[in-house]
Amino acid sequence: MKVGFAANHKFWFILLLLGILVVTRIKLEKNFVHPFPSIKNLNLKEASFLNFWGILLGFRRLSADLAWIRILQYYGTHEEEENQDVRGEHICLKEDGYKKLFPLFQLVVRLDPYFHFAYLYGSGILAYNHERYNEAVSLLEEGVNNCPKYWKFNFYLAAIGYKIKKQENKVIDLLEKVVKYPDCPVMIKSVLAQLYEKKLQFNKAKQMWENILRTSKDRGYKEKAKKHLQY
Amino acid sequence: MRKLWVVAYYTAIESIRNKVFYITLLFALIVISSSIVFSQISGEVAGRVIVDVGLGAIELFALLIAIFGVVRLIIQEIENRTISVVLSKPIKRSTYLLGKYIGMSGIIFLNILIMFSGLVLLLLVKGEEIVLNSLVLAVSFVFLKMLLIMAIGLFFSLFSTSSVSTIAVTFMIWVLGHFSNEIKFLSEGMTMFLSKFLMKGLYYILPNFQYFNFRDFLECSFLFSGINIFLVIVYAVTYSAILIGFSIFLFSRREV
Repeated sequence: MKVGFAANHKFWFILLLLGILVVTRIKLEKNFVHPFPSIKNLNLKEASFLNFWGILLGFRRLSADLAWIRILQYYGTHEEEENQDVRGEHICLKEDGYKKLFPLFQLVVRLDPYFHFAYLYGSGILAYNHERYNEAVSLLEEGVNNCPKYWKFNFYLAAIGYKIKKQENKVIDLLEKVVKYPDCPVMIKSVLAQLYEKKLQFNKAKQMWENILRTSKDRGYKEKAKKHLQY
Repeated sequence: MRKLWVVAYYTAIESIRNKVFYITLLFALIVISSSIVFSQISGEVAGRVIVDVGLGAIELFALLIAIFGVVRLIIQEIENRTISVVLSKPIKRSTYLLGKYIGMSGIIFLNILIMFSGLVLLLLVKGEEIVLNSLVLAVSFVFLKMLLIMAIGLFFSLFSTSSVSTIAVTFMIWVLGHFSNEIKFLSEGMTMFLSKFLMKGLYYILPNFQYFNFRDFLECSFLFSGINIFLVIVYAVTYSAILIGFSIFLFSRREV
């Protein structure tokens, strides 16, 4: 009798747990919004086997990091150093004209749509180093769609708009606001410094290169800043 | 109750004495340290890369210890006949199984704690920004994931007579659990009722490990409300408790 009661007790306890599990799952199904798009909607042209495994095993961020490193290898700092003129301007010498840049940046931001820095850096490179404005705008628009609360994308979009219209003073005004934020890529600071030089505002340019030298973690840009300060 | 803690204590001691535990831990710390290499080639996002490689390594190595440890709990004890010695004492099978699970959970907790300390130390040495709240939440969810995967491993180890098949099935469920959103997506695209029904069933029955993937949601933590965190904890605990309940039922009927 006692054994029967205990078994009955366990049965009801398991049933209660099952009930809690079902209710929790239903609640989670309603509350939890999976923040990443499905693989089928990713449209990844440059995805590697590693990226696929990253998604499969739930390592989206790590996968995006690997894709990011791939971009840096493709567009590498050292290669850039070799391809600079005296003032440090980037000269595009890669045979394919860095055609893969845009799909590679797309890969990174589609693997991790919240990788804000990739949007900023990618759009900066495409717009200011290669004058591929459509691609830069497209990347930023993807950012605006994915992270509507991250308002800095709009600054970058506006700056690119002024750059297209060749209104450099307005570009400077906007970039001056952008570089105040700690997550501003050093590349944008470098663009602003060069714009100052172009407008013969050497004091401001000096201050910006000094800022790059002081704050940047990128060895390539530090070297570039040193060269400009010597020049 | 005392017997339960004795079994848990000796399970933990046994695991700590195992060389494989130290080798895995050492290897994990080496991998976490190797994130410095990745950070060197990742330009301005070095901090992010160290965190991602570190958290990824913590999860993978905790998973290895959890899966291999949980297989050792019962199958190897039966193979070595050591289980008969313990069960010949006045100890309930349910107490024995639960004690083993708690002991193994303690080891996983210790393992995660050591690896996490290594990661935080590395971030401090590199002078990177540490958002401790998010990091603690991320590793806590990794621990919850491990509790669940151990319960799954334990459940399947009682069906199976082979360690390899238990490891393979548990690992497959781990992969499918991360793939559950894709399963849902696939099921929505299906037109045949039966296949759609099966896919949907699979989606709801399998544990959804994406709920625990906070390490992937560090930059979109606004998606995580307090209620969601609470629900995920309840989900992990009840799912594990049910599986342990079934495991106790199976174990009580199994000849050893």
